[in-house]
Amino acid sequence: MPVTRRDVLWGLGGGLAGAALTPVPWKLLDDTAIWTQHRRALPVPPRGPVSFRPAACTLCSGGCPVRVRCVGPRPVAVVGEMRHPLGGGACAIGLTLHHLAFHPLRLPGPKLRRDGRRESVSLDAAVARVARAVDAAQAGGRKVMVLDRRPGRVVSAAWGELIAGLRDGVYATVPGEAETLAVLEAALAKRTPLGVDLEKTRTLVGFGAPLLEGWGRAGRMLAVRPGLRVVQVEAWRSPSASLADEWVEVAPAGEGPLALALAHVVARDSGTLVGEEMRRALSGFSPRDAAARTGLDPERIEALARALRRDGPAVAIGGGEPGAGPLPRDAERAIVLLNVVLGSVGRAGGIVPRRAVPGGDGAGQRPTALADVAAGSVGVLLLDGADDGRALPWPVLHAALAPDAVVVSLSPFDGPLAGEADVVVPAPAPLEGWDEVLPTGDASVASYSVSAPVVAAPPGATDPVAFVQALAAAVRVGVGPGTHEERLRARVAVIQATGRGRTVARGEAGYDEAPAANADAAWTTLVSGGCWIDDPAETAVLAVHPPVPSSAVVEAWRTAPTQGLALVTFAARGTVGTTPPSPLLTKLYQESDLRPAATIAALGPATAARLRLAQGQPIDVDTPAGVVRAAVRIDSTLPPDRVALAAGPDSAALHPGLKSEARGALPLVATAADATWRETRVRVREA
Amino acid sequence: MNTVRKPRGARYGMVIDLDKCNGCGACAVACAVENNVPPAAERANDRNGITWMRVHRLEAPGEARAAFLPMMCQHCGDKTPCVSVCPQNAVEVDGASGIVTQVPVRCLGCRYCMAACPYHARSFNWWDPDWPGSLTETLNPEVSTRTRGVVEKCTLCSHRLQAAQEAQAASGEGTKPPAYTPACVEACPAAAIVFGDLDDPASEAARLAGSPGSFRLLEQLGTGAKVYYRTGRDWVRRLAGGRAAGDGRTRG
Repeated sequence: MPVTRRDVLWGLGGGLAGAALTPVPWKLLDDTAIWTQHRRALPVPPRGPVSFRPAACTLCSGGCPVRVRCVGPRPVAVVGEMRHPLGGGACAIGLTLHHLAFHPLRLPGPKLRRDGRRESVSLDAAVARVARAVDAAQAGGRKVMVLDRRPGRVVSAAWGELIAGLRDGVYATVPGEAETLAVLEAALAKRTPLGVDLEKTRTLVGFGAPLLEGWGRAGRMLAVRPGLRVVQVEAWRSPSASLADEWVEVAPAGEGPLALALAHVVARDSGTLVGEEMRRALSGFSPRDAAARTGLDPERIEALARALRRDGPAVAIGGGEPGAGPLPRDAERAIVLLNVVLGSVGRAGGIVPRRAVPGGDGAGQRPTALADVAAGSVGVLLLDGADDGRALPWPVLHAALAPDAVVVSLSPFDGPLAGEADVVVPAPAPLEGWDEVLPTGDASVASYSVSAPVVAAPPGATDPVAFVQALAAAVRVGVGPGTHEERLRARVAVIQATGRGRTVARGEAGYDEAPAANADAAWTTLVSGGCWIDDPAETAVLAVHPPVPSSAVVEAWRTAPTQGLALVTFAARGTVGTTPPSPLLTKLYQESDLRPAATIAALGPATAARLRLAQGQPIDVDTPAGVVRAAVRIDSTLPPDRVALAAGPDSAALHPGLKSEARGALPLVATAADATWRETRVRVREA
Repeated sequence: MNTVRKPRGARYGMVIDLDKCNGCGACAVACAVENNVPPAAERANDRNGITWMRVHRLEAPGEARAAFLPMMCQHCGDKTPCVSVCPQNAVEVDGASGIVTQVPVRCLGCRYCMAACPYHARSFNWWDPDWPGSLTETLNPEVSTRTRGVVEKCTLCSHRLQAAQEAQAASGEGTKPPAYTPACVEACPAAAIVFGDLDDPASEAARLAGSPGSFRLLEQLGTGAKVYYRTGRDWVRRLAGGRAAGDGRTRG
């Protein structure tokens, strides 16, 4: 039988139809999926021996103990040390600590700004440029200022030696989260560091301090939380306010008047007024006087004060918020006054003395507050690379600078402040260099630990101690010898020689006390993840002459704030300092609205309706300082006439290379003469 | 010659205490670090991003304290909607561990599983993964990276289970399913997540899962989820259980 063309076609067609009923097409589909997924662009991380190395997260003052999991030389994960005796665990930001050495905004080496452009130079050329600027500033009668945001380290001591040798040097710092305790410490008859006896505290009032989202040692707060009543005074329903037992939705910048009115009620009801000045300050400022500025009913203030008296020991904490910045000094004084009338100073469960960590005096240099530096007086500004995880808008620093001032940054990253610098000498990034952990603001006992390098620093990174020594040599100032490591060893030896406290070692099963026979043994314990914990100081009656807010400020607190939309600024600790956040934090800030991003402006429903704004609508938020773009989110918990906008994290850090007009709240803020930025009125318009 | 004794089957699961969770997001970040989940693309948002673990915020009128609900693949046991709809066998229930596994190289990207999942716990790769700068240096070699066009989800860190099984086999000790800890459990600073074999009466997870106050999401669907939640707050339980619509709101 002849085979026709039709038979061939039938055969082919039948074969194809039959093949469709076999697994072959599915296998082809499957294989196609596999082939298309094996692209060269997909990274294949190399394997290697796994090791765990102890370190500390120094992205903020918390200093959480961590373990870094390394594959070969590469760090691939960070885990919080849950069993640490001072309180363990790490926050979401700390868990990305190992990303920072590889961050796209990492600076590879020293740079100078010439004609508006940055160019790479050698370390010697950078130091010579800074030395010339220091000589010129001294010759011109201008100050050379070091800004250290984590004072008390051996690097701080080296800066102190340099500043002590200069004719008009200033060693400055900015208020931290323990500013309330610092103000109180300055008012003590005999100065001593202070902490909070949280384990016995019954009520903790946070005047804007983020008590439940990374204040003090976060692990300690988590441990004491079940027995603690937390009252959060804040202008928006922050994470801390959401977790607190009571949220007091005070008007922006109403913290000081509220604290003073509370102190008035407590003093009136308990009769604890001491001294004429204190009596005068408190007796004339009742809850009714505070109502306009705080936006709270006098009855609510009365009830809150009664609850504080009833549920004592109660401690009031200021210190500001990482994005909103420090509280004005008069507000801190009012909070200190509240603690005094509550009887919380120098008692169990209240504010208690602790001893200083030995070996950190830094040539006797006590930091000067940035707010106390005269405007336009600084000829050279040296920005230490250590980060406290809190915002510092450039205008606050700029106010102190002379017109031709030279700014030097030691930050390892091309962050917002380094971007303003004329000279950049990048320090090692986190996990690349030596660092140390000092007690947090809340700590009731002193402690100390050392974080050794986990990964190798690139050749362009300069240890800050080495930079200080090189600069000191160039400007003919004597700064003692010794590398960063040698100075840390010397400090550990000083601590060990005091015989105070206990040394705790990190073992396989956890932490155990491990008495150190000598300085070398103490050093080995500390660089292996251990720590030194001081003995508790004796709780003694603390003689205090409480500072009172100035009468002019108190008069201003009686009046209602300026009409208009108030800007509420905020940020999580560690996201708005000089260290850029890891791009992976977009999991929280972009792919979830667990944490409000700096691209979102929240308004209350009534405010949004009045301005005819809808959910998701792009708007421009406008102040005399600048304009930023944001998308509207209608937040039913936000009181009227407020716009809540995060200060960070910066979109440029989360998406390196991306140009965005959504830059968060910091370009908008109005800075005050006392280096605060808590009162800003904004206008909002459709974009 | 060593005899490798095969461990008996396990049913790994977790119990999350919603009264301990403070919504810090450490679990979500630790999960992304461990499993090489890339940072968000520029246009990604809360609906199209890749979040194996996501924390939702729960609030109700008149309640001072918010609650936070960590949400990931619930590792259904009895009825697994994603498994039954996958045309590629890219989703399987591992009989030895109870883990609902996802095999990205088999995935065609049809997203039937995403439509079927009642918990919205799956993510689709809309963009090629991108780790800016030299962040690829920090990737975990135990977990392969995924390409655009495939679905991915929580695996209860099954690579850690494999490592634990290999270690157990190498030592030749024990026939019980090995104990291991997923990254989210390890990272939680509040110790709100307890993980273990739900079939092992000696495990803390089994004890908590069976105790009063524990519940599962969308229990009425009968999926046999292996993730349990606990709370002493009725409104949280109602809201998380989906039985109190209208008396609160969620964000996440």
